[in-house]
Amino acid sequence: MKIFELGKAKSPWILHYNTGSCNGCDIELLAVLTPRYDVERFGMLNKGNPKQADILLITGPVTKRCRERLLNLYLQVPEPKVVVAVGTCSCGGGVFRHMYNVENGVERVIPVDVYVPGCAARPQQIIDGVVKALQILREKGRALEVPPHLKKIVRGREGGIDRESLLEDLRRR
Amino acid sequence: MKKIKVNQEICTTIPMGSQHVALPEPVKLVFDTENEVVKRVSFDVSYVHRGIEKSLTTMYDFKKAPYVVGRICGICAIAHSIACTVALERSIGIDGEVPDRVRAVRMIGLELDRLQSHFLINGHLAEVCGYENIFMHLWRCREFILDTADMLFGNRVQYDVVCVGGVNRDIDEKTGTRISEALEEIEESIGFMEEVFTRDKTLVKRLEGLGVVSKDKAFEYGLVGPSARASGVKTDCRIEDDWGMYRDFGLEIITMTEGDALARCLVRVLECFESVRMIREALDSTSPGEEIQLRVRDNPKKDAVCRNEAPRGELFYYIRGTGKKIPGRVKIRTPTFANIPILPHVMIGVRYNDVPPLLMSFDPCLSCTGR
Repeated sequence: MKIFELGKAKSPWILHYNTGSCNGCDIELLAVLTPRYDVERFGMLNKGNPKQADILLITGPVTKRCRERLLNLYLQVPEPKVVVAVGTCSCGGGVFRHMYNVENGVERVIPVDVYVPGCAARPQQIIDGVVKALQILREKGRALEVPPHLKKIVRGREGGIDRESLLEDLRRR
Repeated sequence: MKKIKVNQEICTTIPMGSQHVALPEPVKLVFDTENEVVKRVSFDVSYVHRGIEKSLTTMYDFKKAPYVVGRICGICAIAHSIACTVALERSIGIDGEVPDRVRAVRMIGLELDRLQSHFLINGHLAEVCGYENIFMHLWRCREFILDTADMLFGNRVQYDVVCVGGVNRDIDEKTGTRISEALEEIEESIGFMEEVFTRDKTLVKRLEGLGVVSKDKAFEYGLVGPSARASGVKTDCRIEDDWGMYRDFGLEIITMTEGDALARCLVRVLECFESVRMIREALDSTSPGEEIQLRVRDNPKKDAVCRNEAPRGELFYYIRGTGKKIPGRVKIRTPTFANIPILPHVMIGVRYNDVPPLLMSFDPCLSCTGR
């Protein structure tokens, strides 16, 4: 468990999806990958595959056509996952709030962990948000481990988790 | 042995998008390929439709319009703001009174925007060709331009400096001298870009002869901007519908005759030199301290039109004034909308691995098109 946790904390992979933003935040996201800001020093890589991603970077106010795609992407990312909403419009709609084809922010569709405001969000802000997301990712990863009240049983048996004793323990509670 | 006859053509369908690592924007392209050669292409560009045109006639009054319109596209934000403002000023009837200083500041904003956009797309083009190194170099150079914009207007991407009747910020003398120093650095990096795209043998061979558009075809399909100029069509809205002082400064329209991906790329490089010259001229033309905002008392009352040259080509705005605070109709025609119809024509018969550089050489911006 600890090895996986270490690996994730050092090298989280990013999935970026534009849900109808103005491209401003997207080019700033690209600028974050380039020499001056260089987010790769945190081990982050921009990968297009949702099944390998740990952090979802969402820009834009979520248009009605992008809604299903966003949901689909979110469900494909394995646990633990962190969602970062980049830009004012993804945090709550921004100027696009209450336009007829817009969902008023990412939080209306999927749960958001970190909000990065700004129009367009500066690279420094984005890095700050992503580093905060790292912390949350670690906590979420820990929560996914064996619950504390079951740890004794797991440790007590040499052959790993015994299913029957686990069930017995659950029945007692 | 029996010979097997295949009557129907066998195509492999390759979908690309709406989410893809090479695409910063959601767009869906479906290629039907036969042995890697593209036979059919279909597009879907409307994932980013937000309804901005409608909101301008229902939610926001005309003084807020330049800021809302800037959010159509983050890469060419100020081109949208200027086109909208000029159309509104024509509709109100104050376009003749706009001071020269305002025109100069607007020109500096637009040309800075053009510079960063051209660096962006040329870097991205190099990246999809497989040259990540050049992508990194060009984006490092692009940071100097963004720094200059940050110094002038207080933001890196969305400047929001243009308002109806003037500009929100003046450029003082101290900043003016610092910009002229920065411009030298920028000019040096444009020189580097030119060297890469003319002398690097592999890059030139990759892009040469790819997606050739003849002059007749460019006319037929109504291409705009650098893509049209690369085919030899002499068109530039900065000259044709001059809201600034481009005619006075003698802006040179750069054209090439080859019409391939390399020519489109080089036209952009050469335009960067011209943009730097325009910024220098605009800085010297007027001095700071003049009035930078007119008082706007009337509402838009006439029909008005503005054509502005965005980094990607002609940007068209139509505004119907009704005498009220909110205009009756706002119509926007973006450059990418004019450049898309030719893509299926050029892409057929091209190998699949040449498709990304070909697509990028036309510099598509889908936030503009979908809006």
